[in-house]
Amino acid sequence: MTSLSRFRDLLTQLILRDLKSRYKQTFFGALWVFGRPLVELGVYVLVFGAFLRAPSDGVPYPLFAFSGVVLWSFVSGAISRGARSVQGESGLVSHAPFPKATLPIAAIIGALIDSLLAASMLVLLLVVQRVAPSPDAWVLLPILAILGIMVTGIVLLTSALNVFYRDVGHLVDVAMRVWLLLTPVAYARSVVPAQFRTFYNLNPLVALFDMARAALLGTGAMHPSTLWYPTAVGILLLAIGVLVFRVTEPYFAESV
Amino acid sequence: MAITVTGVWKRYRLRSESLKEVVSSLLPRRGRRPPPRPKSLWALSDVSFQVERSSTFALVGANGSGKSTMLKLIADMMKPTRGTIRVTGRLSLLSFLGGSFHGDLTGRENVFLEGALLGLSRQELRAKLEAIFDFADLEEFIDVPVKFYSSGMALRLGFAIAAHLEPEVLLIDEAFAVGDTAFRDRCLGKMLAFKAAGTTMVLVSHERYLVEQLCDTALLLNHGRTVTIGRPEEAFAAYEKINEEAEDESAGDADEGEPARSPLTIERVEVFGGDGAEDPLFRPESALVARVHLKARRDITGASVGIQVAREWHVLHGTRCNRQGIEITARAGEQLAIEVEYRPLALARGSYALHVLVYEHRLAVEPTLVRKRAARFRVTTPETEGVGLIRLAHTWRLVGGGD
Repeated sequence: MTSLSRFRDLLTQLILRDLKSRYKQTFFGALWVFGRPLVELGVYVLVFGAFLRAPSDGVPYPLFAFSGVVLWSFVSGAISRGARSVQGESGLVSHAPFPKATLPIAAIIGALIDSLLAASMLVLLLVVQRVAPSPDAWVLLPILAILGIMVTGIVLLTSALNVFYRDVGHLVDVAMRVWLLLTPVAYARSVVPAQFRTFYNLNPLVALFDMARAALLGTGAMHPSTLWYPTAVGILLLAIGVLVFRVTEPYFAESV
Repeated sequence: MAITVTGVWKRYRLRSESLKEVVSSLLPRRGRRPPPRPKSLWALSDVSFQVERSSTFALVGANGSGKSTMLKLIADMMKPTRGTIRVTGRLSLLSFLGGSFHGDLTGRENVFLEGALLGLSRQELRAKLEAIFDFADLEEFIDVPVKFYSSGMALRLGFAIAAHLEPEVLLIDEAFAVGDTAFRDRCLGKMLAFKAAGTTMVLVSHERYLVEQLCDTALLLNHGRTVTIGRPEEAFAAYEKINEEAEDESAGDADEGEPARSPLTIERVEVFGGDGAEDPLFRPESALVARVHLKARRDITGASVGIQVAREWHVLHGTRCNRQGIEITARAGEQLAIEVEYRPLALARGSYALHVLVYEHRLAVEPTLVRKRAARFRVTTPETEGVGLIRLAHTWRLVGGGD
């Protein structure tokens, strides 16, 4: 068996294990995949939509917020699960010779599956709200690809470092909270005052989330050139992540 | 050669690092305190050996001698600090059997996960699933979550998956001798089948009997250094010697129990019938007499003395004098001796020790005084030895046929 097919088989089994085990012995089972984003959406609709009356670029606020929530659920799910994926399997890592990269990648794919299931609700919401999908919706694919590259880089980096420094896991938890608030998930970018724009736009997710909404909901003109920056950041992060993971992998078994 | 290990050293860092230490090591130092030295441990020091294709090799030694480290290095799970390791052929490592099982998943689901970890493809697993559960004797539990398995059942399933691998090089870390007697026999049978099929095996084990039966060569490690490479018997003989030396060092006050409460003190223990004064040498067919000299500390009636024959940490035989109707009655300060005769001795080749125990009363369950390794002796045989811990007196005869 080639090492590639071994990698793929193992990855499949790890993803299946996570999927099967996560909702076993729960009353609602797989419904939790939908429950979490729905609760988040409810809070956003209440706080940002009703209390603060956040601008939503001309589409109904629930739709606006939910598109952000679904996209964010992938970023945050993948990174927070991924960062601890290697250390959390210390038993496996220290007792079995296998390609360790399967662990963080399985975490990312697991988060992707959850987000895609949540996205099916978004489609439902589009139908209910009678919003015709924009003909530019295909742009979501390259956006998702860039997001995937970026997230993979971060997960490889943090999962490797977390083996040696447990601080990384905690750091990631805090960073994800800050990042959520600095990303246009629950509000439109237009609320950011002009003097903060340059700083705000340093967050590579700003352009991606904006573009994703424009593609799906037609909330504004699309500027493909804005994708260069997140693409470059993503590739850089992926390169760093792959490098760090490969260099540190031989020391996982004795440090985990 | 299936495995070539050349001048391997392995150092572990024993410090658990935190970012604090990293940050403080980057900052310019001001304080008076010198930075803490990184603590490390050489788990292996300059170990070299070769394992021939289709042979079976054992790594022997006390806990912490570096055996498992060596196995993980061969499996390429870790990098040696110095030296090189070359392995040719598809490799599998068996360790921590069933340890990766996920309790919420069923036996079937876990077999696919564990199999994938060990390097079996999904098609192979699907084809072998029934055979695996049949081997583990767990057919009825195939769709039961593993958390409802007993630990023995989980280990059995773990070994059953491993038994259906087809590696060229198989590394085995202790845990395989699991389950009840019948299952152990099946495990041993499977190992012999691997051997017969020409699989190169390296195993880490404390079980002398198993190693001697299975292995062609054994390497004895002590604190990460090579002591002996040779026949398993030689390696275990050297191992026993190391253990004895360690025991002698720690044998300062050998008496256990409650010496202050004991009615009798053990003055000395003599062994008769062998050659040589220290560690006398016996033949299995000869007789051994052990004489225990005792002194009464107070007036006693109905006390008892026991003797155990031990090899390493196993007690092979134990007996008490009251079982043959002898009870000790004495006045304070009186000296007496009691002896036991083993005829024939009937032990296999090796080093042995005698433990002496004193019981306050013939009905007492717990001894009041125990002197471990009160005397030592060795046994040798002229014939090439069979297997096992004892040597039953026996004679071979050809009955009919032949010439």
